[in-house]
Amino acid sequence: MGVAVLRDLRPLFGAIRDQGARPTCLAFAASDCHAALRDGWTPLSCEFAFYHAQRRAGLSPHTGSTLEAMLAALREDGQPIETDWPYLAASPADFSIWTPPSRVGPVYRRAGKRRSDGFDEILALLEADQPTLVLMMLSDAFYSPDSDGVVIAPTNEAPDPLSCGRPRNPE
Amino acid sequence: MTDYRAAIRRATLAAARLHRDLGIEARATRENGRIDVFEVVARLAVPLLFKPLDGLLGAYLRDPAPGVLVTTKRSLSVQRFTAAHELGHHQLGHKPTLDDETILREAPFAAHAGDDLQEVEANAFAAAFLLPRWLVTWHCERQGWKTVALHYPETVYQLALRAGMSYTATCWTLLRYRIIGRSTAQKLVEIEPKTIKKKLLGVFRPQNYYGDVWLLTERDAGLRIEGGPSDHFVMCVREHSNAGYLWSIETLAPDGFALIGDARESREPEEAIGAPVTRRITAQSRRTQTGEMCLVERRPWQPNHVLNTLKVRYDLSGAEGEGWSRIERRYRLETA
Repeated sequence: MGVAVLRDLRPLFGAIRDQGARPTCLAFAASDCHAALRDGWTPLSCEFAFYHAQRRAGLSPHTGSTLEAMLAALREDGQPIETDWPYLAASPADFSIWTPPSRVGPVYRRAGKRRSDGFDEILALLEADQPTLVLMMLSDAFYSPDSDGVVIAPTNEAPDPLSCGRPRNPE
Repeated sequence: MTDYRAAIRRATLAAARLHRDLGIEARATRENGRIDVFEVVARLAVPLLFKPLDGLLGAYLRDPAPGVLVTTKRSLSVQRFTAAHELGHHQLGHKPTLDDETILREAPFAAHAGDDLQEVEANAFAAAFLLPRWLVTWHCERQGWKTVALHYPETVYQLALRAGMSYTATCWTLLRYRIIGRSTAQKLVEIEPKTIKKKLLGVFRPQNYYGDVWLLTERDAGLRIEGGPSDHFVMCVREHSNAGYLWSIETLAPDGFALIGDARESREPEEAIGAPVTRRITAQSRRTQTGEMCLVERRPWQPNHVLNTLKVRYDLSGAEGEGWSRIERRYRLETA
């Protein structure tokens, strides 16, 4: 069984980036959705977005972000381009020195909107070529797709809220 | 009581002297953080034999030459304490003695009117020899345990396992070092190890609780465990599944270990997306075995890129069997 592509938004995005072992999946996803909505492709600084989301939520750089704080960071603080504050390979050991560069170029803001969950709405957004950030629970099988890229979970393997560090109550 | 206090002081000094003379601190802290009493007895050329003794834990003999007998009918930690007790008799120049369960019932470093001075000394020697203060410090530093952690039975139990001493003797030894107070020590010894094991194993209920339950974390990397053939291992490791890195459990030899639990826990804020979690893998040894347990954290699609490794060597031979100790047999084979 292969994957039938009905709508392909990949041309709106750049190359997939690697978050390494840091808890920045939401920052990457939000940042790239934001960049995909702009003309052309210029990756934006997800370090900047992550920093401001954590600052707003009062969370350390060693833990994940909240959706509310990430949306607020993109809306209020915006993001410069990636090269203005390149992504750090590892979480800062010293929390106190984790601050954005004193000078960054223009910052771009985006008022993202939280939607109710529902598969139909996600499909409608994608049909409308609207980059969409979907938060979902995974199970271990997600990490081992078959050669066609299809994830087939064993019958006894339920989605685990903690399998990808996701919250217990998904958005 | 002055005599008793002097006896305990004399015993602890004798234990410290033996540590110094044989370079035991350097050796124990270089290896697995436990003092191999059987090896020390072998180095002192005191014959030590294990026999299925009835009603006795051990004996110290002097005629025609000094020697030690230890029962085969008890666990390794009891055998170790008994051997250390008999070694105490030897080092302190005591007369021959037959030792029964009393040596386990009496708190080391404590004495009551009417107690046999020689037994008080030997018990104090055993505890000070097997768990000197520097060894407590070494384990605490390695594990990141603050003093307050030693007020909890789970921590004291893990210390006891690593040092190879009984849980109860460990409690009393911590009192001796004034790491915990008397009321805390009293509360701790009233808690049975079985209760601690149950808590560590969570919902899993083994057929019996004879085996120990080791709680292993990243801080145990490189450790060599000496345990029993039915011991359990609860491996609590930080997992970056948020970034695709999963601890691989396929490396647990399926013929040697039964996987009895695999869960993830999080202490992060519930609404935080993408936070690392704690993976809690529980396995039970199926048999007497020695080997190496190696868990690796990596992305399934990047098998050659390993983020973290937890490697632990184990010797799950359990209690010594009849005859020479395992280390003595190895020495004799090497020199044959």
